[in-house]
Amino acid sequence: MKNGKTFTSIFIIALVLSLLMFSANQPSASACTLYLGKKIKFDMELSSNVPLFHPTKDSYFYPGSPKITKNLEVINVGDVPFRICMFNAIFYEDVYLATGLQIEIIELGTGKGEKSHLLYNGILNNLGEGVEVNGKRAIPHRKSVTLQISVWMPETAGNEYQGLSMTADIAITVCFPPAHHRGNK
Amino acid sequence: MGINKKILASVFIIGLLAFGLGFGTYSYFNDTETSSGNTFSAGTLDLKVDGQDDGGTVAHYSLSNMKPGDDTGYYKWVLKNDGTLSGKLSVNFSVITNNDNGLTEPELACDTTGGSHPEGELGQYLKPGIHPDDIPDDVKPYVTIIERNDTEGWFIAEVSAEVDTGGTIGWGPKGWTVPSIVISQWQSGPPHPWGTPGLNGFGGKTYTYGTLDPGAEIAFFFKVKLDSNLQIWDGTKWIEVDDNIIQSDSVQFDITFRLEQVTP
Repeated sequence: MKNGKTFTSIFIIALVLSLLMFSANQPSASACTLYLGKKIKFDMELSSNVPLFHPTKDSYFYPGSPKITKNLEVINVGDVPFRICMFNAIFYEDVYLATGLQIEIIELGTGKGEKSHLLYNGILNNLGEGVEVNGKRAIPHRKSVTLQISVWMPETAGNEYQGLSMTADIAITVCFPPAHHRGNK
Repeated sequence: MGINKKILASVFIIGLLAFGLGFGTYSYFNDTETSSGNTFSAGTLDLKVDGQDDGGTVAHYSLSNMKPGDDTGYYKWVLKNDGTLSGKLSVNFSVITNNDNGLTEPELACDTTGGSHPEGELGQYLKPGIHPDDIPDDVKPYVTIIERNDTEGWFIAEVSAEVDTGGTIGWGPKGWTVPSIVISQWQSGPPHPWGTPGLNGFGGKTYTYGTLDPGAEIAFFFKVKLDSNLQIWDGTKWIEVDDNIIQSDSVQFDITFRLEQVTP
């Protein structure tokens, strides 16, 4: 009988743990899940729903053109802290243009002497395959982090990019746990 | 083993499997949001010459069958920036090729170059510009000389009305028949030991208009003429030459129009 009780206890513990881990694996734009027995919300929002970049309000790119810089705020509207952990992009139309553009994404400091942190600097096209990054700050509930996104065409770009135009959806992923241990790709 | 123990063992194994399933699919919480519809466009630089695209940016020229006193009249090309970026517009003259095309009997008396290419003389007598003093009196009120170099023998002037200052090159509104920005070369002595450089002096040179904005148009003008009485500078003074020296001569050159990206 004693053995029976032991087995039952182990079974219940294993079942609870497995349920917890299984539910944690369900990504969602508004993820409501169980976290250590408590129902929590893991959710973020972007400050702007309108496209950041457009030639009518910015300018056209050309070799050596100045950086076009936009700020995007990532807001924690969930219950647990997160970090920026990945960028992805999907390109449409003249996708070749993505190979001729550079992008730099900086996590800005909070203005209290905190330094900005470079998350990514490279060819825009690389975002198409996803780029893992190490967000510096764990963003707590109701706080935000500002991403400074700059795009430009290097001087080395050639005539092959003349007149190309593309649209890009840029995805930002935040992750839990907030521990700063994720590696860069 | 009793039935109860078997049941408990089964329950334990099922629990263990369930734990393994949960552990095996463990991953971090994550959330993704997308900034959609960002548009990136590379600009264009597209120079149209007289409405033509590729191939129209080079004009091939051959001047022949000319005689003393001839004036080519203005050649004119309308240049349009049909792109989306501002560009720096310039025109380049290739090396001027002079051909003797053989020696006629009258030419033999004064031309000792043998009559074969490239020893023609026409290029050095074709005048692409005039001296400021030679601007016609009725035209002078409309002409403002903005830069002048007597050593090198050239001036740049602005012309406020559609009047002809004389043989020259320059830029002007596309509706005009003469340039409104005149670049005139008149050199008549040292440092050129052979006197006026003539059209030969244009060989390899580039003349820049400035910035041509998207959609903007400007015309480039060019003409040369021969004096009625050909002269050459001997290092100290002008001397007469036998006009027959240019008989049957011709010159060939290319004019290349170029629109380059403006560097910020």
